[in-house]
Amino acid sequence: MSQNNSNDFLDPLHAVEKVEAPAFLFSKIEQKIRYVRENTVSKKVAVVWVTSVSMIVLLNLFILTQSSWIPTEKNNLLQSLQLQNSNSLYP
Amino acid sequence: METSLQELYTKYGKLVYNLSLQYVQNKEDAEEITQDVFVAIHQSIDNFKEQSKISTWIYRITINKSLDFIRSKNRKRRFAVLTSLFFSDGNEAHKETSHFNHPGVLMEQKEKLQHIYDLINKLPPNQKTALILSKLEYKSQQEIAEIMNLSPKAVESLVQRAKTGLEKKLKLSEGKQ
Repeated sequence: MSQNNSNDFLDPLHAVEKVEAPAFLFSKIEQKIRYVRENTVSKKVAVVWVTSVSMIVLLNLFILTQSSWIPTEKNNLLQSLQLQNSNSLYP
Repeated sequence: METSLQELYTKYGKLVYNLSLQYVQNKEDAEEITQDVFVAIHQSIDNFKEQSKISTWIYRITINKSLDFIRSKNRKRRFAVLTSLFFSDGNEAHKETSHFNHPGVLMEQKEKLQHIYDLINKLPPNQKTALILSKLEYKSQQEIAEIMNLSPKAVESLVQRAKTGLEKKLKLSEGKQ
């Protein structure tokens, strides 16, 4: 009974007709494909970009971690010139 | 490649357009979805493994694109409503709302069908899909199961739940009138 009622209220849906797709739609699709092709970055280019950026970041990190010798050198220079590296005037 | 896409369009263009119309009930939106579907087909036709029929594959793409389109439209609508609360231009909220413009619906049945479609649109996505495929695309339970990647039993239950939910909503709305 409930099944029949369900089908009754859905019966108007049988009146929905199939329609033809608009004639110009395929040329619009071609246009969109061309647009997408021109405006998307290929996988190869993306991989090259990511690799080069990460290389630069790694190189920077490497230089920063290796630069710990700089203060030592500076200290050596201060020592060799017998200069004070603090603000205390009376050692 | 271009010719094979044209062949696919000749064969399945009408199917894609009509199926997306069942989801959005608006000519312009269905055209946009059809475009997106064929762009997706063009991009992934090389990866299509013939484990399923090509029509099943196209059905799946159309369903996913239609649901994505609806989701994105709802998101835009919510955003417009939110912005309209803070800015004076309250008309913005209504710009994204599509009106019922289904070319397959006759004028004399428009009001009745618009009401049924409004209720179908309120169903959860999987129930809506099962109902559309069964009642508007006249697909068998087995075909729907293949398209939705479910068991026939699960499809039967989805369709039944959709019909029951719809009937309740219909009675409720009739009671209000």
